[in-house]
Formats: sequence, C-alpha cells, structure tokens
Amino acid sequence: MDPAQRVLVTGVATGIGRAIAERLTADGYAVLGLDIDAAVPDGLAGFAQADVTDPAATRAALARLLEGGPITRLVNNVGSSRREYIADATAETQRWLVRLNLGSAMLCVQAVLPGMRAAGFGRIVNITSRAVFGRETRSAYAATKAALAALTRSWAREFAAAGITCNAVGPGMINTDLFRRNNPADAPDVTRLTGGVPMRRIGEPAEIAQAVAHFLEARSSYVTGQMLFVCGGLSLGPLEPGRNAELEAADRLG
Amino acid sequence: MMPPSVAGQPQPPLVLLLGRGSPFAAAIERRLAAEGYRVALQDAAAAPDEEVSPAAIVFAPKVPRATGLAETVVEEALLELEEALVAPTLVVRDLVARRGPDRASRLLMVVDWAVTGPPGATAAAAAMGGLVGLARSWALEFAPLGVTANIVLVGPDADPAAPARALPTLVRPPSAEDVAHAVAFFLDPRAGSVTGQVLAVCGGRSAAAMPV
Repeated sequence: MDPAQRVLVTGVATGIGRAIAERLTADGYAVLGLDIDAAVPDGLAGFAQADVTDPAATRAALARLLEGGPITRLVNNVGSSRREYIADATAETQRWLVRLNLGSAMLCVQAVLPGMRAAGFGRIVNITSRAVFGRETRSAYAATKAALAALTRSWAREFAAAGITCNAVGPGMINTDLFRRNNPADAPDVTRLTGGVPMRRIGEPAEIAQAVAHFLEARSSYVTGQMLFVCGGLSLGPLEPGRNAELEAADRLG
Repeated sequence: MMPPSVAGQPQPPLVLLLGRGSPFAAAIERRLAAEGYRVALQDAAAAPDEEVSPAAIVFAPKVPRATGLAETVVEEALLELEEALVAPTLVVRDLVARRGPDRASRLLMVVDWAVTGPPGATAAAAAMGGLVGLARSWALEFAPLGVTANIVLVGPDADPAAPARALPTLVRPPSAEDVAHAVAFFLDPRAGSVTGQVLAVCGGRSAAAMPV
C-alpha cells in the first residue's frame, strides 16, 4: 500500500465523518477510522476504538493505527455540540467540548506529524463550522470551532515549509442526527438560519466530503491555512426573514 | 467628561476589568478613569461577584505560553484552554444572562495576536480563537437585550515587555494607550449599534491579511 494513500478520519461512525470515510474509500484511499462507536462504515482499511476525550486512550489507539505505517493524511472531523443558552451555561459543557473538539485534533496531529515530516508530505483537514463567526445558544461549541480555526492558521504556518498543508472545511446547516438533535425546527435561532440559507435547503454530509477530498488531493499542494465554508451561502450572512419566500414567489412568476 | 449612564446604571458607571497582570490593564484603567468610570480590576480568572452590577465588562485575559505543536503537552494545554473559556462564560452568565435591567450592557474581549495563527503557538492560538468565538456568540445571543460584545485584537508590538521585532508595521506600532482608546470607543454609550466586531489595533499588520 502506498503510504501516501493512508488517511485517518476521526469520528467515522456517524454523520459527516461517515460520509467522508465513504467518499474517500470510493476514491481509492486506505481509510483508517477512529471513533468511540464501533458501528463504522464498510470498507475501512483499519479502525481503532477510543474515547478521544481521554488523551492516554487516544494516544494508544493512534499508536495501533500507526503500526501499519505512517499516516500522511488526517481529517480531524470528530466533534459534537450542545444547545445551551448562556443563562444555563456550565463549565462541564465547555470542558467536554474542549476535549472532544480540540484535544482530539491536537493528539491526532501530534501522532501523525513525524510520519508527515519524514515523507515531506502531509494533508491535514480540520472540520470547523460556520459557527466560527459565533452562534447563539451554542457559545461553548462556537468557541471550540473558532479555536480550531485559529489552530488551522497556526499549524498551516508551522508545517508549511515541510510540504504539509493544513486547511479547514466549515459546514453550515448539514443534515445529520446531531443537527436534528440540536436544532428544534421551530426555535427562532434555528429558523433565522434555516430560513436564511441562500440555497433554500440544508446541506448533505456528502457535500462536506467533496470539499474535504479537494484539500486532501496531492495536487492541492499550494493551498494552506484556508477555510472553505460549505454552507449554501449562509456564511455570507443569513438572508433576512421572509426574503427567501419573496424570492421564491418572484421565481414562480418567472 | 462624565459619560451618559448606560442602561439605567447609577453614575459613575462601574467597569469590571478582568485583566490583572495584562500589559494593557494599567493603561485601560487610567483611560476609563479619565472618562469618569469607576474601574474594578480583578484577575482574568476571577469568579463573578454577584454583588456588583458593572455597566461594562472588559476581559484582558492571560495568553498561554507559545509552543509548537510537537512540544505542547496536550493535557496541560487543554486545562489552560478550559480555564480560559470557562471563566468568562460564568461571568457573563451571572452578570448578563441571569440579570435583569442591571445587567452589564457592554462586553469587550481584548485578545492577543496569537488568534491570527503565528507558527509555534498552539495553546495560545486555541485560547485566543476560543475567546473570539465566545464573544461573537455573546453578540448574537445578547443582542435582543441591547448588550454589545466586541473584540479588540492587539498587534504583536503593543506589549512593552515583548522583544522588539524586526518587521515593520505600516504605521506606528500601537501603545498600551492605543489599546485603551479602542476599549473606550466600544464602551461609549454612543457605540450601541456596534456589536460582534473585531477591531485590530496593530499598526496595520493585519491590513493585507485575511480577517480572523
């Protein structure tokens, strides 16, 4: 197996991570998975089960995956979110999300970095969020994603001269179980966003995988430190309430 | 000059400055005192004091030591990061979100240049990025209350204790007083329609760079 074709995807069992793994497998990569949940997609070249909020367990799992050779592509996808008004904020939520959304990325990059440096080649993709620009009812989550965006910039500069790129994909409103769990359909903060997407629909996990696949390509060799929002245009700022309905009516009139 | 009262606060309004040890704390304190505010200076990690009703809260947090990723001890970096993010969250929870009309109506986060992602600054970049994400979320969630939340991004040349740098700024490098001036702008009652913004006080270093 060409070591350059080994890619590690974290959070591979569900949602966006699962779609990324399926896409990369179809593209011919040897996809390695890391997840707390062992119900992973078919066709993985390797899998290690670990709770990535536990650094020691994560290091051990990564060591097992590296026994098969260096990993020169990494998708830091694992993450979660919790809907929580600031009036109800707890330290526990922030600590959990720091460990899950940021600790996991730090540990994975640390583990694969020596192999990337030795190869003079590496591709790191961090899954951030449109929430890097802030999100009401989700401040603890938005903080971790904005932190991951800052890490993307810092790591891009730190590793650039070694041929290792580090970029981010920022999903908008994407059709996953996590999205549905955290976004009650009639909540004002949710309708402000879902009603304001210029494409007038939420996105599919495979559309995130498309952007990830782009950054992972060997030919994407001069792109680093960037964040590509895959959001149906929502990161331009949501359209004002009712505007999509007006536009739709105008479309119907031709 | 005494500023007009903010959101029904008695005069002179109190500013809670959570930044003891910040290189900008003294200049911010002097500037705000000169404008007629009372300033209470506390540790960045101080627990919220439920007895006080500040009109504004200025966060000038500590910056974690800059290390490259390979040298970063992840367990330590995560603890630092958790503390950096939890402390301000509990302050705004208790002094803004759970308050009535005596809530603070101006929130300001003073962040270090590390948010722009210099190399070799993993823990610092993450902490500063996280604080920007928090402040932007406060801007959205507190907007219906008329509370503003903004960010002052300080250039790398502003800390008088930092080593001199060879790279030129476009205009003169910022002083601590320049940082204090930006803070005073956002706290002014006349800045009530400005929220969720990042103002870089950096001598022009970010002028040709991507926004954070």
